[in-house]
Amino acid sequence: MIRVDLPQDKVFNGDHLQGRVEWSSSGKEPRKIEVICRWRLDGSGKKSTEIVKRVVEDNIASRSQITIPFDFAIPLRGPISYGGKLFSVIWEIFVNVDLPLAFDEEETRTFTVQARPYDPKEFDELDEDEEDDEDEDVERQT
Amino acid sequence: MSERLDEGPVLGAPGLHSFMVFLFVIGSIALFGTLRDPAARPFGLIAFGVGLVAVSIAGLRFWRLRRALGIADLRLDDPVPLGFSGTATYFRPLRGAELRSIEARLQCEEKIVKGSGKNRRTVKKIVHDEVLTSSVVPMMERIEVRIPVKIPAAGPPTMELTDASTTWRLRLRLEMVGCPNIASAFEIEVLPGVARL
Repeated sequence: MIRVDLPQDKVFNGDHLQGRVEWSSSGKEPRKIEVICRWRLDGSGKKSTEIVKRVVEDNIASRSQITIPFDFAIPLRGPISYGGKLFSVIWEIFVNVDLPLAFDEEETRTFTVQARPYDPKEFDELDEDEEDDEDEDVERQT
Repeated sequence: MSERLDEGPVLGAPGLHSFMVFLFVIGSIALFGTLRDPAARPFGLIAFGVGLVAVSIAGLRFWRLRRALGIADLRLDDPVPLGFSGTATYFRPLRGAELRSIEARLQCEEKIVKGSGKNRRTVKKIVHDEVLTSSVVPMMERIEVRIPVKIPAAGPPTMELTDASTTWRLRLRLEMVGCPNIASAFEIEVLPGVARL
């Protein structure tokens, strides 16, 4: 059984989402447990998923109960959660328990990323960081 | 403040002009196809004539605009947060033409990609459309229009995802005297942050 605990369901872009996943064995010993922070595009167009970060626990041994704490940074640039007319952006914590020779156990818990109070300095720093990254990429290519 | 690209289309919907050029091409093909056939030649000449008139009208409109209008610019903070409230100023140099009336709209457009390969197509939908009250500043030889802009705090911000996007634009339709009516459109980048009141 999988349980995803989130202290809060709403988080600002640029903040951290903290929580924990609790797994208790139903008999089979899993190879690994993956906790994924991702957003997905839903709606009438092409559907896609983008993984922001993941935590993998592969030191299962013969434990029958495992708690995996997580702390995921939500990008300042977003995207933020959105429910539009043609598409939606849905943020979620997805847990996959990889069981050998059996269907994997899965659990999904959605949460909301809302626009943070605007501070021009934060977004200016982001632009500078992006420019630095681009410069580094150009240097690497040359 | 920065110089922004005017997405226009300056001459309005491009379909009409493409149709006029299309008529000219068809007329030319019809003329060359019927040159050696005396019986059909009058029909070819008529088709060519119609095409020539159409393309001349399109060319004349374009020439009059080139002569009467300079390059447009929109001055507004860039980028802006959700909930932003400010005044955009639209400039366009004029020569021998006058502004009769202007309609300004703030629009947000959603765009998605459907299908793949040959069936890949783009679908667009306007999800926010608001008529803005603008005030024209009387100026010699140029248009200056002030437009109060308020981006809703509830969003959405500008998003550029792999197969979906949201884009904010300020669209202007200008009725002119002395040259054809024109249109302008400027993209506004909206950040995922809410302005504090």
